[in-house]
Amino acid sequence: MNQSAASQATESVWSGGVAPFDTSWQKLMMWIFIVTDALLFGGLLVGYGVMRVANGSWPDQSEVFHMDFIALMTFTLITSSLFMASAVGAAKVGRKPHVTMYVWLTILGGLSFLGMQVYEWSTIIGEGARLTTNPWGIPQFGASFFIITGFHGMHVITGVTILLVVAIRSALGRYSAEGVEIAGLYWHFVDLVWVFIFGFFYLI
Amino acid sequence: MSSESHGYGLYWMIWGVMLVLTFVMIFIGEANLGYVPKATLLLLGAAAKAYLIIFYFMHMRTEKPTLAMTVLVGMFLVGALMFALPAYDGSNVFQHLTFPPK
Repeated sequence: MNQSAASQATESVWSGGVAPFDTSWQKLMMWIFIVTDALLFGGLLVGYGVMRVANGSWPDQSEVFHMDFIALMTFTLITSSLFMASAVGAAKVGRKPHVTMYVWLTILGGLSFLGMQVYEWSTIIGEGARLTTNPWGIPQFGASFFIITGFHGMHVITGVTILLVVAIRSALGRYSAEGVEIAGLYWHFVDLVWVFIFGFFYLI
Repeated sequence: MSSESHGYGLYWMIWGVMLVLTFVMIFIGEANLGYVPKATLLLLGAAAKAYLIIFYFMHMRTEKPTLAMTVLVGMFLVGALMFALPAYDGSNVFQHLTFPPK
């Protein structure tokens, strides 16, 4: 009984004409891209974790970084995510001026984050940290820092570029609610990655 | 979809909760706890923030469960496995890792 019911359900799905995910292909592909990109960052964080465990000791982050400043960077990214979510909400109900305003605010947040990252990098480089050496004793510390935050920073640059396209298109009146939503998915993902970098690289 | 779309109140609320979580995580990070309790608490904090971002900001809660399962199992199960296996290995095998490799 159960088996035949199950096979009927399977047949009805596989016979076509249904949308198992019930989304457009554009949005589905963005989600699938996000999964693969999450695994990329997962790999980077695992590499960092292995090196850290293998080393046995690790520099005290609160002596290397100014944690207040890192908290400000986190605040900026979370706030930009709030603006992005508002832009997506506004696009859904067709409030065009709100979409443009919130997308620009998101871009502003992204640019501020990048500016702070440039400041952080130049401070750390000024103190003598390089990919293979740094003044805090564990060589892999510098490698982990530059590669993980560098990959994340590149994603922020990409996100800002995508949002600039959305902002220009929205100013020209050539935007779709789904286009804003898909750009938003990418932006929230950048914020999501930072949550884990913040937790695992800066705090633990 | 209708009630939360206009009026950005929900998003501001999620933002506030995420800020509180961030401060709690910083507090835990600076607290004088053991390594394992600290890591566990921070992992829980990060997971809570990830839940808020994915389900509220990215609207996963209004998507079909098939999409949620595909994405979340892919991301977190594989991510957790990726983390658990080499991290255990790292404590045993790579005791004398040199960097850069000679």
